[in-house]
Amino acid sequence: MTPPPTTQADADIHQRLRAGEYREALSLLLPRYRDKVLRLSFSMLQDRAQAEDVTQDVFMRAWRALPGYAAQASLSTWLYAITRNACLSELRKRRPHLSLDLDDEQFHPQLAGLAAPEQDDSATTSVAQLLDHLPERYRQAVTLFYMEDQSYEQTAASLGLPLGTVKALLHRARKRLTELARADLDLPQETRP
Amino acid sequence: MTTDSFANPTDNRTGPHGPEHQVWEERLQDWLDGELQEQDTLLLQAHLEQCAQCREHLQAWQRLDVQLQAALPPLNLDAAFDARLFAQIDSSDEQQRLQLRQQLEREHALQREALMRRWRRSLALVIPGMLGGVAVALSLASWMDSSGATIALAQGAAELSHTTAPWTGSALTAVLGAAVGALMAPWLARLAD
Repeated sequence: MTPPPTTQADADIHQRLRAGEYREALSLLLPRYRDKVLRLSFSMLQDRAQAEDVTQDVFMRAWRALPGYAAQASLSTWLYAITRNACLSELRKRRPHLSLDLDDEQFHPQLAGLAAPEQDDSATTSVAQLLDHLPERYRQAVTLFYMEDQSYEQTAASLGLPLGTVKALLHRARKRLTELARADLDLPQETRP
Repeated sequence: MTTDSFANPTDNRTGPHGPEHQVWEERLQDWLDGELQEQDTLLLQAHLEQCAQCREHLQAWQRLDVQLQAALPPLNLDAAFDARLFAQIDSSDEQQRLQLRQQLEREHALQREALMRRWRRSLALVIPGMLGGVAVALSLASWMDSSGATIALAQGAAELSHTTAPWTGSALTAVLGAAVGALMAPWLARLAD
């Protein structure tokens, strides 16, 4: 096995893997990555219970794949890729024709508001509800950024995107949220009884 | 929690700022995320002192930031998750072992059955073949006896080896039988396969 392109923090895990001590390697891997995997899953699925199920599934997949792990990518990259694939499978089960590539031009705050799954009875909408109206990629970036202690690096690593892309997604998401909030404030006068 | 605290109802444009403020918006968000360089921070502060709109939007984004932090607390999993995962792994490994053992037993039974079938087929063809070979050899020896060839050969051999003719005749019959059997056996074995 060639030396892995990994951080010093994962060197002990690689050492265990080289020795064929997979259970010990997983024991080290879990406390380091279980929360990150859960947060990434949640950012994509927006459901805590499902995110936990997927996290368990991800580590089961990782357990089966550990003997064949070739260390071509860092452990974190490998694990996040498994997570994203597991979440996408889950999302496809929910919505077979799902597209995750909504861009700026396709987004209309008012239409997003009309397409909302539920309307709150209260006069104003919580920021969590507004998040539901963001394009998928924006919502993922925002969710993960705030859950990961506002770290661009960790968010970019988890989503497998360049730092600049994550930054742009986050900036646009914030603008969208303020636009949505403004649209939401306008709605009571126009559509609500 | 409501969005009216970060939305700006007085602003009716499509974005929080006009196009001339695009750069300042980016810097404002960078500053909020602690990503702005010192020199740019000074420039932004100078701009904020003279731009009321930017000050308003900074406050709006700061409130949004606080609300997002509250709405998206870091999700965590505890050691109980690890215990559940290892229990699932153990259960899965035991099932895999059981499946592997059953598969090996099935393969062993199939191999044994195939071997027995081959033996039965071989015996059904080889034994009659061997008997036929002996019969052919005896017929040949009988023909040689009746034609006088055996006596002539036996006498010739007896003269050379100084032994009695009947012994030599029996030996010749045995050699002929063995030769015919040896010629037929491989052909019959191939036929049996």
